[in-house]
Amino acid sequence: MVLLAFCVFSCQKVEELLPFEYPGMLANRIGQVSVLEDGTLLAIGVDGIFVRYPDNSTSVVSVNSSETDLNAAYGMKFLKGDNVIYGVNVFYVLVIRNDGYQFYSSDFGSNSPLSYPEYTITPDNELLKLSYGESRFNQELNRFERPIRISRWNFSGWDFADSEIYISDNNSSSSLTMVFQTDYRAYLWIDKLYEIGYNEYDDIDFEEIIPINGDISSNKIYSASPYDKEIVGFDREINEYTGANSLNINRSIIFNTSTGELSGSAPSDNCGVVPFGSLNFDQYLGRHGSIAYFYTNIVFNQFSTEYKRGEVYAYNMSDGTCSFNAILAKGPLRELDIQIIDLDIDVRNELLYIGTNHGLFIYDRQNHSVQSYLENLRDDNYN
Amino acid sequence: MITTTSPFPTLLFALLMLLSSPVLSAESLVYLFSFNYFKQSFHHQLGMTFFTNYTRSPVLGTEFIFSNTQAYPVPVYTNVYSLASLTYEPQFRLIEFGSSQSITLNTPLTLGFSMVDVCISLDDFDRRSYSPESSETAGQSFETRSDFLGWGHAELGALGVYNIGRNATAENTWPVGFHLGFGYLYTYGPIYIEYLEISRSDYAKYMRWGNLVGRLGMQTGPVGFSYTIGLDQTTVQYVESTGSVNDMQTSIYHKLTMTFNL
Repeated sequence: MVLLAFCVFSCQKVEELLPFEYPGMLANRIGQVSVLEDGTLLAIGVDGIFVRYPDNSTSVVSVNSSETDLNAAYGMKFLKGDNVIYGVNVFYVLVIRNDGYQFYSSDFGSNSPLSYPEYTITPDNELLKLSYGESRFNQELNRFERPIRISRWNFSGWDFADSEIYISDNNSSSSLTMVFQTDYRAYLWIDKLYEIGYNEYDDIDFEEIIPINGDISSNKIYSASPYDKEIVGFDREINEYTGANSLNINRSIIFNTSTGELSGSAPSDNCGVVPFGSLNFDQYLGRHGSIAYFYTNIVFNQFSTEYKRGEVYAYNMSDGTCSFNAILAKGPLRELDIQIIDLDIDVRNELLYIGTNHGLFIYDRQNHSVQSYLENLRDDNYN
Repeated sequence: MITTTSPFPTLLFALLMLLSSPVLSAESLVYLFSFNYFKQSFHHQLGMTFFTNYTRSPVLGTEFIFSNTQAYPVPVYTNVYSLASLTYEPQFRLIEFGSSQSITLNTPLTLGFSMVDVCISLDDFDRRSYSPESSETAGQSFETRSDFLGWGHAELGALGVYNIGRNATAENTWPVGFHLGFGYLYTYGPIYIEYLEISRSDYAKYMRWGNLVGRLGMQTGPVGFSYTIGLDQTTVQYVESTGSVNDMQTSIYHKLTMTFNL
């Protein structure tokens, strides 16, 4: 009896059920989802912005939905610096830190052309913008023209310097294509191709690059980014941040900065290129290496035998071939009242993050399983 | 003269026998379990309880109460309120020390007439019947029921038991015997679910669990008593959204059994 009593009272264990961070906003409407290159996840909902960092720590930036702030956040491009995330569009700069956020007006003046600037984070952790400067009249050329302007964010506004590269106002309505390197150098692709050095703040040097084949001006490139020693992009302007509908491309364009060779490839037949050989899609999800990812929505029909909500195209920009990965109407995605609003791809983990009118979902592209983000969070903590 | 009609002289006699017996002396003979002498190596009993058996499972699941930014886990577990139970308990004498002591492997099988309910504790004073349906209530991940889940439970277990005196060996003639055992009991319940609309598979993870137990018993004549108690009782601490900490006990096992030799 003594032994029993000893065991009952001294061997008694204590088990703690500890609370954990639970962003309840992820159960409601999620209007935009972004997965950054380092794996940082952002989801914008009616209550604010949820951020999950690569180390799995999370924060919720509470934004009052009655304010204009949250509307401004939709459609932003997000870039990650050290301990800071920048959201940018033509009107605002959103600075997100662990302890809060701040919106800044982006000095978008009436004199600015309606084109989307390019942004990057420099090796010194600065936010940099490439855009057109103010229009001026060039008497020699008898035209209005704008300089290419490089701006640095100083946490209250933009400090800027204009380059000696001038673009005719007639051509400045299209978006700039700037491919940033990691050594304060970038490639600017307009009607010509320039290699720009911007290490010195007010001394922007540039050099025109001429391909050994092809013509830059007839091969305008959009949504370009560096890959190895190549600049890869598309022949049509697409905007991966706004999720605009009914987009298409006709071909990829690749410029080898080492050899000066200009090449490209059209989508092959297996991409389902209709009509007129163009690749149609609803959203550009981004690029990983030479593979670009697109999403096409499929109008859900409960009588369909395939039960697909959509399809993700993996388009090989080098040879034009496509592979497909269906988003099946499984689990919660089988519900007709769940509408896919926005999604993004986490290529490294073979996951899709899907923003819907009923919250954020995680879709495993390999085994086609789907789970709400919050259920997944609960399982991670308690199962 | 010592008589065995009153319990105290009986206990005294047993104590004297224990102290004077050659417990593990060189003269004692040690016998191992043998199928050739199965009748001597085997013993079995029937046990009964009436309102003297209560079991609570460990935490078998976790549900949540939500604030805007936090999830507060609350424990889900199963209670078994046994009204009556019947146990058949074979005992295999693995080792016998002389004629007065043995170590047995006991494998009790119990059927209980009991009220079984899967419960969720929201705080120290708010315990409800749990439903694993998807929540339609804002701020929580679970639903509740208005009544207990079902009837009946079963137990199967294995205990290693040290016996001395009566029933320790087939030859022992002491008027009283004692035993002390440790083991593991596996519980399943409810056997019958009260509501037809409830799917058994929805509750599957809450319907089976195990308890580490210790047992102390006494045997006099053909009748005996044993008390079995859970040894892995656990205090579960969980936090309310107000910040206050609740304690509750889980893995509880109490059973007072009256036994009869067969």
